[in-house]
Amino acid sequence: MHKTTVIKASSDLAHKLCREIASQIDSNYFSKEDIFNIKLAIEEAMINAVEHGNKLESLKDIAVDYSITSDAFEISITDE
Amino acid sequence: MEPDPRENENIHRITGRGIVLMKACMDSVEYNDRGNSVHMVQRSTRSSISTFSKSTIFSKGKDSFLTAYRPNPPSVTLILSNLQTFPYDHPFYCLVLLSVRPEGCKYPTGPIFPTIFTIYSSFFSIAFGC
Repeated sequence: MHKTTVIKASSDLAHKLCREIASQIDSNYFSKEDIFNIKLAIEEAMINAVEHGNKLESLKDIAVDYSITSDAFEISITDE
Repeated sequence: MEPDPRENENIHRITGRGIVLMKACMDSVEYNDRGNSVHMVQRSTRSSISTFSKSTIFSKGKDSFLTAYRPNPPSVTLILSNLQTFPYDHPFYCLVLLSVRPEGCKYPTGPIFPTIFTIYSSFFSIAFGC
């Protein structure tokens, strides 16, 4: 599965998207520890993009491109 | 470039800890040159131990006597020999672990003496997919 989405630079939207992404990770392929690590890393990267990349300017965009397969989870997070 | 928060002189600085955390959690964390895009990869630990590729080293007729098993992603190659001690419908396989070769090593390493073990055939089917 591969998805691309763009959100505005807001902490609430970033947290919501993190939860949405984490819910799509299949626990048949990823262990609880894998999923916890992914959640922690993407939350951190999103907050960096909102606070440091886009300086909390809510009109700026954050592009998130991710893919989930049975072997790996990959994500790119890009701020302006 | 952010100062490394693990260095003694930076230990009380609160910046840069997020990147260390991300690197600890993920298999790969890479920033682009501009520093505005991060690409992260986490490989599944569960699927990595559940898939093995199998290749026959020595066989006679339909029977494999020497087989190599390699997990995906590759980390080690196990060379196993089927002793053919039991008839085929027996629920146990008797195998001899002859050699272990870690990925990237030119020569096989231990065990020096073959290790004989028996495993239940249904487990064998699940674990090795054969």
